[in-house]
Amino acid sequence: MPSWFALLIFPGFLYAVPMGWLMLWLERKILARLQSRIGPPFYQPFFDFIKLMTKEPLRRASGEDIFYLLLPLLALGATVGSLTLLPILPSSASAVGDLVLFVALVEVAPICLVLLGFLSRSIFGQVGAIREATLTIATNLPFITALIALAYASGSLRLMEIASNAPLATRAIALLALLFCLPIKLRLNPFSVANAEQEIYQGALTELDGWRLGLWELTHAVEWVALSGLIASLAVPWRSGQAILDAILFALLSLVLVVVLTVIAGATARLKLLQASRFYWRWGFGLALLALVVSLFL
Amino acid sequence: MSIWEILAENLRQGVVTLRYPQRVPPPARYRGLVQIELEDCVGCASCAYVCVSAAIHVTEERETFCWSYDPAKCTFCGRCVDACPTSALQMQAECPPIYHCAGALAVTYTRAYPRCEGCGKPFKVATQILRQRAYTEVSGEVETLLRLCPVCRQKEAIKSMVEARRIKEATR
Amino acid sequence: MSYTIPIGPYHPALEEPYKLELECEGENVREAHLQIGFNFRAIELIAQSRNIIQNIALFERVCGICSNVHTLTYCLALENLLGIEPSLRAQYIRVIVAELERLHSHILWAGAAAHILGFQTLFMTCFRLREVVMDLLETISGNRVNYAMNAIGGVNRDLTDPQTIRDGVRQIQKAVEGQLLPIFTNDPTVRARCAGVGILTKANAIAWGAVGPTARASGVAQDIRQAQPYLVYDRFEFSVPVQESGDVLARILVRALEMVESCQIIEQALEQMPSGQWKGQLFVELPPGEAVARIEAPRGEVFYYIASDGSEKPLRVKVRTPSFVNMPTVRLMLKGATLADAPLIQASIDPCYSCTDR
Repeated sequence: MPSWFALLIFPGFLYAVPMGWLMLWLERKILARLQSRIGPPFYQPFFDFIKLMTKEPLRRASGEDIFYLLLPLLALGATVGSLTLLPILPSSASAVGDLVLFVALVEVAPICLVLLGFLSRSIFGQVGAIREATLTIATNLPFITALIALAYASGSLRLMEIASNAPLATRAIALLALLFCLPIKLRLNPFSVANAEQEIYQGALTELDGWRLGLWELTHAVEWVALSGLIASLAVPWRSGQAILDAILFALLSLVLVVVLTVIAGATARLKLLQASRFYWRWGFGLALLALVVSLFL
Repeated sequence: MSIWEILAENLRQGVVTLRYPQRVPPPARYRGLVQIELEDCVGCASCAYVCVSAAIHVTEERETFCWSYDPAKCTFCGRCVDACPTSALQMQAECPPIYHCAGALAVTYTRAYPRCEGCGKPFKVATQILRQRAYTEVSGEVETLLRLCPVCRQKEAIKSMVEARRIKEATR
Repeated sequence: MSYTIPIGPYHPALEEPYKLELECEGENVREAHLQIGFNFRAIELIAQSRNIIQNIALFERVCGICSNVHTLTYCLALENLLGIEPSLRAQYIRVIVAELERLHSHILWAGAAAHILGFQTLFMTCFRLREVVMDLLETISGNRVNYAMNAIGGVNRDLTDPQTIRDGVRQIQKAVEGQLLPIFTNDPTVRARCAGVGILTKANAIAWGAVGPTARASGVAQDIRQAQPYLVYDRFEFSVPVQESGDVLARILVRALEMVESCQIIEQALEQMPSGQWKGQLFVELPPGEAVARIEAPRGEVFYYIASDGSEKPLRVKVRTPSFVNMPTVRLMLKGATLADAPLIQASIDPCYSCTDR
């Protein structure tokens, strides 16, 4: 399959953007139903996006807007790029070492967020950026350790080979460790520390408005697809060989992950920065280390 | 109950919120717009005296009085209803309508004082409710007296007193 | 890195305008400064230009949550001055409305605390429960917030349907004991945020004159309902919950246990309530003199002083609200706390800024 197809159609833009909106909607809808509320209609995230993009934004110093445009676009491009590396279809273009590239690309969005936070020159934006940076470091330790365990167990740095070859025990423990990392990477409860509304407004995004916020919300939607997609594509070694069937299986697995994450978010209060970091260093990293040990000795 | 049980219970119960045009009906005692029964009003201005936000005004002319009420100023505390000696005021048991400019719902009622049956001058009359309260049994004689202005009533009273004395002396 | 972070006067964690300036060292708060007065309305001055009946409705608007306690205290003070006592039925109705309002205020606060913790489901649970109380109050009085129940020497509306109130109160007690208490005390994420946070020692609580649940959570057992019973509170059996630890969790516990006690008081009041006259009387003038009244509001002691020169308008009305007294303790609690705890700590005294900036 040509690489432009992966980038633009599946699992790139044409799939990722509507899917991201669907995931944002599903998160809100499930949370609403868990609280006996009606919740929004399915097109709500799309309408939110249109509304933000058509709003007249505040005027800012002319030199700043280039960053407000470029940083979200960079984050968006990198996240979609990481998505195209996922081993969904048997024919996916898989290069040597695409695991490393995936990690690098998926980390662009948090870095851009930190930059946006400092760029905004708002105290809340800066505190949010500090928190985001601290948590990124805290969560990447288990995240990368788990990926190393998977790569070691399957003897390859190619995502496709990891998906098909990783032994069951390592795969289960490592994927659980990866799942642990998702709430913090998607800024969900109980780890919604970096965007803790009641403490620091929207954190790094506090000063963003209109299209500047709209672009970032779009990036966030695609982040959902990429990160849940990583676990969804590594969870099942089996591929039918039929592109449509594999794509549907992948999409369904991703949506199941959204449900799991939302239920956890609905059942918890927000932790503090120190508590969240400690959780990741202790439990997240512990689990990832266990996966590594299992992959070494089994 | 743990939080998981609450989540499961909520999910089982289904949606309990309403989509906007639907709303919960207000209770029977709901304090809505103040309504006046003009026939019962004597223009005593007790309502205006207790109104904290100056939503009610009563102005008196020689032959008429005006009762005006602006819901935009009203705090719906209901003290006017409680203070009204003739129970002429009521509160609507439904939510006030949505309106866009401050004085849109303001009302002013003008009522002419009834005229005295004796001299024809306008005067403040006691309404049915007040009469009932003052005299448990309203006889025909009292009814006739109450349709007279205070001055005529005095004249009438003196007349009847003189009449009574005359009868008394005649019978002696 | 040290910086100053403003919380308020417009902040998502504060419903009302006031400003908390935190001097932070990283995530740790080194010093906190408090500013109030953003919404000062001069109600005490306005009261001097209104007659005594108008003032009942005016003082109802001192607070948006505990509106009833203000009219109640004002009417009690006026009754002291006039030397009259409301009928027994009126006193029972006042107790029931006051306790329903306490329930409403505490549930609202629990919801606000859950909101600040970022616990949306718990927030929704609390606010759904609050609707039960609000509906009861609306059925009794005709309004959800400003009940306009108190008149001089009585109440404005009778209680006609005690069974509805009894059912509602039982439902609330069941939910408080079955849902709110276990989650606030046992849920691991809530415990992690509340236990040992924002400690106010007993010595400090006394020294800074804290009142109400804030003081009771620091081990100061004081409740005017028992210390100096007003209305008919001496006829009920109830206990005053006290916690020793003085942290946010203790304040949550005190309020939750108080809700259970309030339910018990309402049930007893409905049981004992005699029939008879309940209406207030119309007074146009006050005798010259002065009088005070104080009651236990949901947030602590509310105190009213009235001076009169014998005219229809009071010479002076002084209001002392519990939030105003409790607020300085926030500074003590905040020292050494983290930035993330700051909104929760300031909320834990259940501050009411419309009371403070009256």
